[in-house]
Amino acid sequence: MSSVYEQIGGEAAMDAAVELFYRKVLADDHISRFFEGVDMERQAAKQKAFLTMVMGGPNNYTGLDMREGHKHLVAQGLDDSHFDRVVELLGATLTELGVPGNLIQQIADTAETTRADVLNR
Amino acid sequence: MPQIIFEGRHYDSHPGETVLETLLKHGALLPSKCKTGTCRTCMVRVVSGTPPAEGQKNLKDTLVAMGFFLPCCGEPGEDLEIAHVDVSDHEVMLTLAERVELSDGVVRLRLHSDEPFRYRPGQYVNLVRPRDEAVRSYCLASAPEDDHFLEVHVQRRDGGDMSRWLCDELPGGGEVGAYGPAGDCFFLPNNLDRPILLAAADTGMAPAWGILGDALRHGHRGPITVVHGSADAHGLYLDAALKELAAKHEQVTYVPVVMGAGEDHAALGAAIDALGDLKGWRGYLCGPPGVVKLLRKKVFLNGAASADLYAVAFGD
Repeated sequence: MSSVYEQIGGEAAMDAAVELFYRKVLADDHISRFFEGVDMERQAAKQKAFLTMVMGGPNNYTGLDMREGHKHLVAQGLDDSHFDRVVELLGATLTELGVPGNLIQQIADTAETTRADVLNR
Repeated sequence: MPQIIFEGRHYDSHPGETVLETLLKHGALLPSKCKTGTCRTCMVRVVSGTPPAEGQKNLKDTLVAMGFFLPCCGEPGEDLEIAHVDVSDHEVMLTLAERVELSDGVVRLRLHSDEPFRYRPGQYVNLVRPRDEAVRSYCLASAPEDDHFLEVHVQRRDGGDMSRWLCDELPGGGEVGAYGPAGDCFFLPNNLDRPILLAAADTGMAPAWGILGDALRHGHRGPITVVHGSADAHGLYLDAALKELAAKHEQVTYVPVVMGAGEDHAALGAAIDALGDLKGWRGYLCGPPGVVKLLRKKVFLNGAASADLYAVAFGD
């Protein structure tokens, strides 16, 4: 069976999703500070790599990358409430893009598996 | 198979290898990390040849125009000579030709280059004080098409050692070293009809002025809105020139913003909001890092695509 990534349209869909997802994240006062920065392009590239990973697309993400990449944010107070909000906004993004509910659930489940690594537990 | 030329050495590539893999296999020193085109640690510049399309797929058009690509993505289709993306290590000597006090605290310097100096308006150079080799970056407000003078705008600061030297001590005809140019915040004439926002704070107006001139020189037809913010009216040092330009060019609108002393730059944010939906706009954002960060977020959330935002932030 093809991956969720392929089912929703591969890389082109990913670009649209990242742009929309990033808008939601930056507009959200609870989590925006973890995503702000002068180098927005690099941020967007990371979001794209993450979305590609949780949708089963081609990626090289490892748990270790997840840990390393979020360590400094955990030190700044990143916790479960922020993780939950990101998953929620990811779901809202996919709903807006017309992704069927069962696929969104699959994606949310995969995102959930990264929780311990992201929060460095 | 194509050869990769890097730092004077030739490396044979093999089928299925990325440029980065070829280099690393032979022990070339090029920092890299994710190897998937995400982190950009390994980004290089092509000196000759055409890099693989995958290596430029997700890069901003100004980076592509400078020949930058990610060697970790795609196979080379032909011989490629590549170099680090750092500022060139060739120092050019400039001489001070003119110094004008544009307003209380902002000085315009015109520096003459004896040898041809290629750059794009809005890029920056690293200026070097010969006596102690102190270095600071300054954005260029001039255009190489106009003459051989490099124009920079310098804010005179208490305790700003380099700015004091440039504003008050460097004599006419005195020498300044320069390395560069660098920076991906400049105009490309690849779409002359899109609306442009030039949002600058303080001497961020220097690159904005350069980019504005470049857009007009290329016959840009779409609307151009120039927003210039500063703590007080003295900081709006091109007020008269911008008003004159806006009167002369129908598509140019000038929005001066006195921001006050606060750190939140709320007045600048409000001026951006007043422009309404920015979907389809290109944004050039220039100024101190805190202001550029605010502008980026604001302009993006108001509708501009992240790929259409160009920014240059300098120390404040």
